[in-house]
Amino acid sequence: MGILAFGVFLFVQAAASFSVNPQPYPAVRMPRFGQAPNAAGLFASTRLDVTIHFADGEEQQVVPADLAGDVRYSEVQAMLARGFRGKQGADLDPDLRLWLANRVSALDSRRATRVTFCWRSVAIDVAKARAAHTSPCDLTKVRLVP
Amino acid sequence: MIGRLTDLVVRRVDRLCAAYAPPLTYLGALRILFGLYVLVRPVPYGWMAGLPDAFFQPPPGPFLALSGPPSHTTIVVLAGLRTLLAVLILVGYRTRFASCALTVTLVVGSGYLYSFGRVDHLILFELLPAVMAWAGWGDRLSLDHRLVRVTDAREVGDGLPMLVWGMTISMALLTAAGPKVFGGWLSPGREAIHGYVARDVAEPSRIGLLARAASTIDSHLFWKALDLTTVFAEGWLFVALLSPLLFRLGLVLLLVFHVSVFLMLQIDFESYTLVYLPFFAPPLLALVRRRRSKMSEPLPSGVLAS
Repeated sequence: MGILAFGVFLFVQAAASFSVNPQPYPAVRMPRFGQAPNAAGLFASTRLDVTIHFADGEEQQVVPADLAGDVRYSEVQAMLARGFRGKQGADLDPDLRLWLANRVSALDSRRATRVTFCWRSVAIDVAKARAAHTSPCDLTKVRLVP
Repeated sequence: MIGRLTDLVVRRVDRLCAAYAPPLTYLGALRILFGLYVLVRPVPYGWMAGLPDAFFQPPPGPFLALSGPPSHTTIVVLAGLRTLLAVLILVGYRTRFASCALTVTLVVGSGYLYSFGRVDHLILFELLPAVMAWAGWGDRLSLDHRLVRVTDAREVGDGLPMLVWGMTISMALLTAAGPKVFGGWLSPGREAIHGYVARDVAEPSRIGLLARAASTIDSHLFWKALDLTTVFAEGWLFVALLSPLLFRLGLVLLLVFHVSVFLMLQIDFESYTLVYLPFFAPPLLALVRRRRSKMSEPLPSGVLAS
């Protein structure tokens, strides 16, 4: 009978883990992926563009994973969103600003003044494997120099 | 009536346990592989050092009690402990303790990792040592056996831990299948896997080896079959568990699925090979026996003459 109780426990812990957001840990779960594309063949996704602005007026786009350095790849997007999304100016933790300045200087030796994070909702045309619609930026600008 | 039903269930569970009972030498070999894997391919912890507190937000659960990111010392201790325990498991010394301690260490390590982003899904890999220690993976090919800590003369271990492990795998996979059903993966007109492949091709930050080629496949039948097969492969294991042969087939299907996901989406689940391996004793041992008997066959006389 113990084995049946264990089966019930597995179901209960799974049900409990689905009732909490974000996903709890530890729990016996595997990745569920997300929604299928809609009937029109459009797949909803989120894109993050990171741009470094330099003192000489130049700017350069960097891949989020490169900006994050040796952070585990699967954590990068969520980590950057947690740190920077929806935050501006004084909202930003000074340690976070310092971390960002250090990361930018590790990527490019030029003097950087600002980093912009642009989160967009993207509808991808599945048949053509390219973006069909892109929403306006949910923008965070981080000044690196006072 | 209830008594008869209980008897029936108990008999059925006993039969299943007997059918899943693992050869101890095979489990010993699996233990050595696992120890080696943890030593050679450890999940990196070092990147957490020095990250700002603002990134740190533990997932719901016991790790909410963590007050902040791990210190350098914590990371060094966690990584060192993991290495030490993996070595103990590799040689099979104090195996039961080392296996349970390694499970705890890996779970704590992941608790810290996931506090910086989102929950990744290595839980089965992390739980494996504790369950396999219960199944007896330290009872052969181990120092514990040589030092006569294990006095058990039987060659086959207890099937109950294997059944428990099979249920755990089945539940984990069911939690992946269920949301897909509600997320439209079974809808006739919607191509879910095609959607993920197209996303990676359209927004390439990390892309599977075959993603570009796969994205050009213009066959609704192909993509829909992939969706349905995926949901089926993840969802039916609880039923397959009633027959060891079917369960093994289910795990083979999952391995094919993991390889396809890696080739198309570059999501890597190589460590899960070890999670499924405990159930492959009969075919793998049969393979080894056949190879051995072939090697011990006398050479044809013509070969010696030449």
